[in-house]
Amino acid sequence: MPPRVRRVLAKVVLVGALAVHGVLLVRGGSDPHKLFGFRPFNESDAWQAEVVRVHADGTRHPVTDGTWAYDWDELVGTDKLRGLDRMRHASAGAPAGVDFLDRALDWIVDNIPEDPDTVALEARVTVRHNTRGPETVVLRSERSERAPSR
Amino acid sequence: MRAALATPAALLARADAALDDVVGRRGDVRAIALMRVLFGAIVIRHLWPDVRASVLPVERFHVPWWSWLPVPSPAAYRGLLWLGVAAGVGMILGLAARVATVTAFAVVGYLLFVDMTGFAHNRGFLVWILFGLSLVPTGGAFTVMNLTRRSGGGVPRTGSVQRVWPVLLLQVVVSSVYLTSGLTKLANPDWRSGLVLWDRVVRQRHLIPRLGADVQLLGDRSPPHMDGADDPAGIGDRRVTAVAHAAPAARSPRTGRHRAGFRARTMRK
Repeated sequence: MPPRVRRVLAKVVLVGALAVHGVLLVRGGSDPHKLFGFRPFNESDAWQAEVVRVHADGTRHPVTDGTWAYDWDELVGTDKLRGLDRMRHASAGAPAGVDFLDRALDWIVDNIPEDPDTVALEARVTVRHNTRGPETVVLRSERSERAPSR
Repeated sequence: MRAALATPAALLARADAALDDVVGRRGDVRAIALMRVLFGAIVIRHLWPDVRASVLPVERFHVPWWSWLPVPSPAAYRGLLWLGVAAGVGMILGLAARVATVTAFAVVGYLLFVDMTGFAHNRGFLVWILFGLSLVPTGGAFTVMNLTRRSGGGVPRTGSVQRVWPVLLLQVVVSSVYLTSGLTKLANPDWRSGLVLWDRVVRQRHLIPRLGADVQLLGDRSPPHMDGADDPAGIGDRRVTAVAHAAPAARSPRTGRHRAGFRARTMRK
C-alpha cells in the first residue's frame, strides 16, 4: 500500500474510531443498557417481578407455581432475568432489567410449544431506584401466534 | 470577511498537520506485544464459559444489538468460540499475531453484538482494547519463535519499532472511559450523597468477609425505603453511612496472620 494512502487511511480510522467512541459515550446517557457508554455502578437499584401465564380463558398462573412444563430460569438463561420472584439487586440498573424482561416475555411466549394453553405472559414489576419507591410497572407480552383469534 | 473564511480552513489545515504528525510517529511496541500476550489470555478467559456451556446464548432468550444482525446457528456459534480461543492462543504465542488479534477482535465483538444480555462494561472495554491491538503490528516481539530462537530473553532489538498511533487511540479511549465513569457519578446526587455506595455495600456485605476484611456495624438505622428482601446477610435494616474506616489490623485466630479490617459506621435515624 502506498505510504500516502496508508497515512490517509490511518487518519480516517483514528478520527472515525474516536468519533464512534464519543457518540457511544454520549448515547450511554439515554440508553437503558448503557452499551459502550461506560457508566458502571452508577445506580443501586433493586427490582422483582411476578410473572404469570395468561390462558385463553383469562386465568393467570404464576410461572413459579410448579405446574408449568417449563422452567423460567432455563428459558431466560441470563442471570439478569433469573430469580425474579425475590427483590434483587439490578447490577446494570433497573431500566436495563425491565427492558430485557419486556423483550423476554415476547420471546418466551413464542417459544413454548409444550404449553398450548398460555396465550400471553404478564409481569408485575416492582422497582426501587436507589432505595426509593417502590414503583410498579405492568408488562404484557404480545399475544402468542398460537392463540386463537377473537 | 476573507479572514473569517480563512480561519476554519487554517484550523482544518492545522488539525490535518497534527493528525499527520500523530499517525507518523514511531515507537517501540514491545510493551504492546506484552499487552497482546496478556489479552490473548483474557480472550480465552472471556470465551471459556460459553465453550463449556451446554446451552449457548443463541439457544435461549437473546437480544441482538441490531435486529438485522445475522444470528449464527448453535454449531456456527460453537465454531466461532473455538476460533476465538485459537486466536487467543495465537496472541499469547505470537503465532500470526496480527491475524490472531484481528480474529479475536472480530469474534469477541460479533458474539457480544449477537446477545446484548451478555453485555458488561468490562466486555465492551475488551472489544475496544482488541480493536486497538489489532491495529498495531507487534513484529516479532514476544513470540514463541523468538523465545526459542534467542537466548537473550526472546525480545528482538530490531523490528519492534512501529507506528504507534493506535496506542494513542487506546490512551484516549481508556482515559475517556474512566473520565466518563467518574464524571457521571459526580453529576449524580445519589452518588455524591453516598446513597449508591452505601446501598451497594449493604447489599453485598455478605461477600466482604470472603475478601479477608472484617466488617463491624456500629448501631442500627432503619432505612426509609428498603425492605432488605434481597439481602442474604439479613442486614437490610441497618444503614451504613460510612464504609472506608480502617480499623487496626486484627490477627486471624485461624491463620495467625494479620487481616485487613475496616469498620463501617452506622447511625441511628
